Amino acid sequence: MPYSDKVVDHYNNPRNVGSLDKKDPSVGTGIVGAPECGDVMKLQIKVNEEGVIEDAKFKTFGCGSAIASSSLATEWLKGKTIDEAEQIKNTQIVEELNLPPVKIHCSVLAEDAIKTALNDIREKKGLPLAERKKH
Amino acid sequence: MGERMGQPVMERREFALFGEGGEIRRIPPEVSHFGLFGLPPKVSLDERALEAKYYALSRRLHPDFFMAAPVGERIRSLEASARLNEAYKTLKSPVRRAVYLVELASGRLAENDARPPAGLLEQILEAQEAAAELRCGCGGEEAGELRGRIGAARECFEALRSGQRKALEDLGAQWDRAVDEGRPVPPEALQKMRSILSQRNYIENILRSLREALEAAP
Repeated sequence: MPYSDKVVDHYNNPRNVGSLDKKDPSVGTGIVGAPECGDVMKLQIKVNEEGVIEDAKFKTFGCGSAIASSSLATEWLKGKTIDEAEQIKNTQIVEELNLPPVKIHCSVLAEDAIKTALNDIREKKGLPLAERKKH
Repeated sequence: MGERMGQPVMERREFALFGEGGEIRRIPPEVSHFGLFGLPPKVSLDERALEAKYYALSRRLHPDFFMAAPVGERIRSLEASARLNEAYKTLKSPVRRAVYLVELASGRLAENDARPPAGLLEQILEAQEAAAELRCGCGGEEAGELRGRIGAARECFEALRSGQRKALEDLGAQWDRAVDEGRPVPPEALQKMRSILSQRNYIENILRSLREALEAAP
């Protein structure tokens, strides 16, 4: 069986699909892609005055695992502070969704999208940028 | 990618798959697909020579010859066959071959800094959204207008693709000239090839989506 139940669930009922206003100063946007498969992912977070993520949205054009990874990421992001969100690792996504080795890059893509969105909001809020991890 | 750029170290000699006694030799990891077939590491390649060499080696590795062989030799024959098939499949396709060469010279495309230009992914997302809207018929936009917008995006991505194909041809010729003259491949050419090849799947995907949306929607 290629996909785990959790992947299928997120694929059939993706959480938080949609867009936030990119120009809103409280919205951080991360658009990333995977050159090996051509998947494209957009992940956005809305961060309140206290630095807490109030809302998260995503749009992913790609395989089921990429959709599930970003859907799960938006669920995890809500309610977290910027610093807490920074701690989300692709390995946690792999574990939660039970992704097979060939789909690990989908979780990497989701982590990348989170990091890019977080850096975007940091930049908008004049906070120091986090070091970007190289995969 | 730093120090690895522009100085592709590539073994030019042909790897001898069979030892003097006819035994199969283990293929070391540093032997490239080109080395396996005794072909120069170039973007353009003599397809007939590749095919002839592939068939000749495959014949000698046929499982029938190893039915009575010791288990080690039998395993080596299977391993060598698998590697040979992989190498043939990669080199036969011009795109896979170019990707393979570029990765050999400067690391995997997925890794390092193979990021597409900032605007490209946004443009793709926008076009994907339009395509999805047309397919489900759920957007606010009038279908004719939407089709017009998708058609325009399609033309734009097609123009991008043909420009990149042309650029890739020129870069490939530069690469081959360098290899023929025993020079390292110019780092700018390698970098440009990397960038074009890493955008290729995005552009193919979006063009497929747009075409499918236009064909499927009433």
